[in-house]
Amino acid sequence: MKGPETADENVALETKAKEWVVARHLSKAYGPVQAVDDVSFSVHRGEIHGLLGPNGAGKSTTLRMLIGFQYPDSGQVLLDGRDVYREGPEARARLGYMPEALRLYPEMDVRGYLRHFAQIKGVDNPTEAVDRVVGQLSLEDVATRPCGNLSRGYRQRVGLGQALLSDPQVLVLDEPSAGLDPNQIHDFRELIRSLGRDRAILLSTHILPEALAICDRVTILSKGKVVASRRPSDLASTDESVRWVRIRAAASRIEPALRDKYRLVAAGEGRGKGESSSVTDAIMTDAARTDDAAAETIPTDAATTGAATGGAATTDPVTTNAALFYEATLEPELVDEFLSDAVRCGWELLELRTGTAGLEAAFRQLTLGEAG
Amino acid sequence: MRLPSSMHIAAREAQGLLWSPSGALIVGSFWVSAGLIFMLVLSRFREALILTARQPNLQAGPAGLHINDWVIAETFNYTGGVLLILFVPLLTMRSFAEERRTGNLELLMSQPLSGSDLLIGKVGGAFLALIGCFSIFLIQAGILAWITTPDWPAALVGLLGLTLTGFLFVSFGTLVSILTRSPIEAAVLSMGGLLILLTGPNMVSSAPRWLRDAIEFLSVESRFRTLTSGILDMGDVAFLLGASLILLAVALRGLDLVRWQG
Repeated sequence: MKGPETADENVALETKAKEWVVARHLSKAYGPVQAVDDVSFSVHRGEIHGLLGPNGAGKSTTLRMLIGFQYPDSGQVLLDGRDVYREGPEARARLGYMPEALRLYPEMDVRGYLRHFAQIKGVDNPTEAVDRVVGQLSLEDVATRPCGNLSRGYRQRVGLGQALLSDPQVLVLDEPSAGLDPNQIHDFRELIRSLGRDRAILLSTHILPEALAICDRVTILSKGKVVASRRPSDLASTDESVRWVRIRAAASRIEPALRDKYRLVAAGEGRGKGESSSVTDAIMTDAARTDDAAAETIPTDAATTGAATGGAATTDPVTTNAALFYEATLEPELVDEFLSDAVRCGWELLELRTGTAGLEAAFRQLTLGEAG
Repeated sequence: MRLPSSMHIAAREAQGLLWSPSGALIVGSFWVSAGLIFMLVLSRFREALILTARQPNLQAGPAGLHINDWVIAETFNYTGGVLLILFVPLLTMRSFAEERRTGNLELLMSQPLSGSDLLIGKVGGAFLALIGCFSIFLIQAGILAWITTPDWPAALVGLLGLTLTGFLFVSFGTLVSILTRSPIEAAVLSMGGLLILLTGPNMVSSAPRWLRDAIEFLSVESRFRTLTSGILDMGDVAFLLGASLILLAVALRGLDLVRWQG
């Protein structure tokens, strides 16, 4: 067998060997809808990789293809060098997967459930593996309780425990902190960080602070395509060549032509499930029914909170048909024009600064920007 | 010694069916129904005996009134023809459709299992639960042993026929459960399919002779009835087993279809 001949080849092989998850040119269509379109990325040993994207971006389909649950129309997935589709059981032996909405078997107790999965995974000593996971995830208090009686937080922990039973090299976690309270989220993140030291972890999330807090690298999907794949800090880094603005205005005052011109996007949680750009329009249409006077009556506190939390409070204006927050990243030469339009249209300028506004703004630009 | 993963899946499946409230309801209802059928055929046998005793000129047939023909075979025929069609779909409906609905199928298919491991486990679990339902026959056998002396080997052949037919039905029900997304849908479609499978051949009595012969050859019911009447024909055994294996092979392809559809 011919070995590597140069130092470069050695480095390349070493790097390749550390790539425990490799997704190559994955594509999947559901009828006329292209859910995933030529998606490629890799996750190295010791890396926590975030898969981000709005609802309907193709995250779930990508994850399903990665774990071997779903066949792609084209492309390949390698787990530690083994093809998930051709060498299914062998490849999946290296995998621990935690689905988002895990329904545990309600009639089984926690220990019995974990033992069952340890046996399915072919773990050499199921009892030892269960004890290890119960200790690792602090499940001692509920170990004999039926799974049907567990709180959401404990169900998540049991789900993660199930994924860890075979001490896998690759962990795939779908929205791991969904439904947890802040303390549980903190503990969960610490746990994932510690697990990520000697594993390749891929986690799907739409919680941007989570990605920023624990991921070494993120891949952002939009409409089934990879629109960015880099370190969160790189993604959120300030670009001095642009100006970032945040305004507050009644939707009726945002003329479509100006919205398109400045690529204004509604901030916060305005988008509905499975929708992306079109919902911005829907929100605007809905909000446009309110008169401007009513729209201007937002309490200052709410606006301030919304601005401070990067839009978390902006759902209120949406649901109450009042003013909305909008953001845009402008080329410097457009700023004067923008300010004139803002005065003319009665927009309230909340913030104008050099550079982008971090991961959230980058995310919105990448996933909604084109639709404006 | 480490058991195959499919055995663990089968054990959990059977446990879930037999120990859950809904499973207990299914098994309990089967026992009550099978008990009523047994009482019915026993009382008909008693009436026939009384009638024959009162009117000695009536001929009961060359073999007379035999408990195997009047009670055991009839019990198995009613059980196979009615109860299996009603209850097997209830045992198999959840095996894949429910797992798919709850998202657990995704988790199961991410485990280091082959499709056949998963299928064998699920079919095995439902079949074990069916055997649990059949345990009522032990009580019935005890009652018969107390009142008379049946031809036990013939009775065992009948039980074999019922068990093989049950396995065929479980295979069919599992296939339907794979292809559907809702347990209720799976149960209804399985019941309809099994009804056609068992009684369909009787509907074509006016067909040309060659067609009737072909249908007769492929008829599950005729092979089932031969076995329940106590006649051990290895051709019938092979047919029922072969048909089950063909359905399981199709079910395995169905699992592949699930992987394409997601």
